[in-house]
Amino acid sequence: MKKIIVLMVSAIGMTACSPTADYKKERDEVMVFHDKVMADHGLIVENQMKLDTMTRNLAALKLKFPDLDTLKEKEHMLALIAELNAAEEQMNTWMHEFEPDITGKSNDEAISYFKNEKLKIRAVDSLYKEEIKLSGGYINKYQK
Amino acid sequence: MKYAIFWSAALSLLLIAGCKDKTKRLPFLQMEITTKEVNGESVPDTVFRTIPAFKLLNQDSSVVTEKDFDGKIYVADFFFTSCPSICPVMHRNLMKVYQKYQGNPQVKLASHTIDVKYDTPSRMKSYANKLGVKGDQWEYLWGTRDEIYALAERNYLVAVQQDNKAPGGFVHQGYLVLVDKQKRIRGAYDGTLEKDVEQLMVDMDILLEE
Repeated sequence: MKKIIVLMVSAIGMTACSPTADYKKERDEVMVFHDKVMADHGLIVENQMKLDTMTRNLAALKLKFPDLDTLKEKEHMLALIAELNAAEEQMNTWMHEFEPDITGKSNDEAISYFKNEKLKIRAVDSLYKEEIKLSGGYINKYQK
Repeated sequence: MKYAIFWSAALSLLLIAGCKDKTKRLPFLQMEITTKEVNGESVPDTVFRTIPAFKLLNQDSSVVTEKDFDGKIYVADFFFTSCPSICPVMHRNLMKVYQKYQGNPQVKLASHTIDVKYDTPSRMKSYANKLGVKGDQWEYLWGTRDEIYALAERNYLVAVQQDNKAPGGFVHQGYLVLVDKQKRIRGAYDGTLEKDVEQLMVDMDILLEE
């Protein structure tokens, strides 16, 4: 009988001491990743501003590159700006909807929520990288 | 020999006295040495870059310009109200600065939002209220995105940018920029670190004595 009790107490003790996943770790990972993506956010805005300046200085660009079809290039620039804008909006939407407070959620629910948020912010990161590459390549072509 | 000892001692005393009287001064972070022509000769000239004119709205939807900072030292930063990570830490630290200089007419704080679509003046008012900020000593500033980013990247954070090897991202790194009464940048501090904010307050005291 004593042995059974000792075994039961040990089993309960082991279960109680086994490490359970902590939502704070997941939340911290989301925030750290978000801060990294925010570095690219600056580049997204910067490239929009550069392209916007280029659309307003087409005459100077034509002087430098005489073969330039300014009408076509302006359309291209505006399309790139629109894409950068859309990417920026995705980040803004994520930031406004993200809820770091876990009130009303259990630990497991909070873990699942932050894991899902990590996927969302990763998708924004991929989009940012793609748009920065596209717009940066275009801008560099005319900044030579 | 006696005279030599006497003059050495006198000179040392003078030097010690001179050092004692010399108050500590902060560096100028955006000082440029250029050359100018004087009597046909090129001579070095020191130019201090200053924060340019601006026109923004604060949390009360009142127009705020550079003139509102005339004759004051101020701390500038860039944030957004829905920021989950850096900004809350930075503003918790900045609250210590606000509390230390609250009511001092020579000191202001200027927090610029970089999320201009969402952070309307009324939303920033709620944010300020939540922090317990009253009046206009701590201005929460709103403008067009281009205005805010131009101020950040071409003016306030240029010094930070020069020290930073990573491309982009200076605007969201929680920097606090100290500006003097002539709108010259005199210091940049990591607002997420308590020790940096302590140093900021030490430097603000020095700047107030200038």
